[in-house]
Amino acid sequence: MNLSSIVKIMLVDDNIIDRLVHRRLLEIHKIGQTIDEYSSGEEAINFLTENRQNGKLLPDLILLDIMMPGMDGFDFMVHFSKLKDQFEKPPLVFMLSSTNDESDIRKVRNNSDVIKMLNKPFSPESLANSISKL
Amino acid sequence: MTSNQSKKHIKVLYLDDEDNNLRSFKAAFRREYDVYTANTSEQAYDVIKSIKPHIIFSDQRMPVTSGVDFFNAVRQIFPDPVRILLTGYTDINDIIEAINKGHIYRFITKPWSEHEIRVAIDNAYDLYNTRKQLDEKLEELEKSNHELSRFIYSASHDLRSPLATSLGVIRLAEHDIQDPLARDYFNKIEESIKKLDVFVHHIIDYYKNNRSESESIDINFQNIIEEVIETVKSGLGSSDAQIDTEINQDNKFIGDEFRFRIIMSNLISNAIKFKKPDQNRARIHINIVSDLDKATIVVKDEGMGILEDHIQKVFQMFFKSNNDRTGSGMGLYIVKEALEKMGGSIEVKSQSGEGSEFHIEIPNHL
Repeated sequence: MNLSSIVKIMLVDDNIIDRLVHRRLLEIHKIGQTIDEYSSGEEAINFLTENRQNGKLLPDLILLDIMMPGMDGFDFMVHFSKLKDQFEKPPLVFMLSSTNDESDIRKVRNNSDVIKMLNKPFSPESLANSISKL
Repeated sequence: MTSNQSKKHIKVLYLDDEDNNLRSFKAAFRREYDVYTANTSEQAYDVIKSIKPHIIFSDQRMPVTSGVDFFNAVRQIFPDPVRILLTGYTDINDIIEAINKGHIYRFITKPWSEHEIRVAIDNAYDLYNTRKQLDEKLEELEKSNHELSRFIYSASHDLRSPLATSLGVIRLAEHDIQDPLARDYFNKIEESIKKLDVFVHHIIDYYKNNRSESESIDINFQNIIEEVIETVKSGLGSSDAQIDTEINQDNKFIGDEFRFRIIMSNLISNAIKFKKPDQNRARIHINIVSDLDKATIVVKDEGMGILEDHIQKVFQMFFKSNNDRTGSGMGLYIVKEALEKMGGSIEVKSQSGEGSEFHIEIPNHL
């Protein structure tokens, strides 16, 4: 997939510094044009639910932190998978982990709606690489 | 062992349908022990419920239930008291069976002697205490195991995530800050954080390796190696390392994926870290041949190699060579420990200045 087809990015992470780092790294590497930040899974899922029919507002790519208070990354994916069929063009989802925990690795592998788990600190090169392979 | 002090704290219950027997038992032992009696099993249950005896004696021959049947029922509800049967020789087959099935601790033939009963009570009480202590220790152990698991889980997140955040900010600084002095400071911070990061990783891997059971699943070497290489490269910031892989896997391989990852990520990150000072980038060759019996893995680098004096020591805990500025001294130790849990083996060949070659074998649990 061509990287330029990624225009809108949804960034879901409870850690404000991580959001800053990810946003800036995406800008530096010229990935995406608008980046919207969400500090919780709930907030992000609400947005997707409200705008599920509104293709223009929906993201092309979601960067999703795994470990968040309340709705964590995997809870988010349960809701996302239910919503997915209503999207005209479902966004690509990458999960972000700071632990590289083997049970998380397995869960991501078994979830066909997640492209890949990326380790923190976030590497835009790995993201770009994986997208170009799609 | 039992002390010579008063044994009044030892609670003994005696069940017998003949009141004469109960009376003479009580008369003989009530000064030494805390003795209770019952002449029906219902009464006996009431006593057990309210006073929780350490030891229960029962006659075998009773009109409604036999002693063996009574004990078999009691132990389902009250497993703690030690059970001793009083019986004549004629019931011997039933009793042997009862002992073998664990329904009773021992039996004493009638007519009993006071000495015999005394020895039985003292031994039974020792057994009761030993069991009790064992149960308590087991409970403590389970509790601390549980706490340790929780600790490892939160440590892997709560310790790792601020480090990852800091490394992210440093990555930004590398792009956004031009001042050479500031950049130098950031590099030094980065080096320290990475060192701590490696140590945290190794502590977590060490505990997980020690504690988790081996879990055998279907392993696709190609996929795992690709993932591990990417993780290690991005972790070390060495995207330029040149790693050739040759993987021959024609059959299913069942093994412990978690430990395999630990092993490969440690060997690959070592091979990258210990490149020769004049080498621009690390060169590593990974060869995996998997057959029905085992997987043979070779990780070969062209790095600085291992000094002859050190080669026996590299698998020891906390061993570090002088060249190792960022290591925890645990990596290869964990590799060796993980392989032991998997029933595998590792050998190393190396010549200082020429590179190192690690040979690993892992059994296929197909």
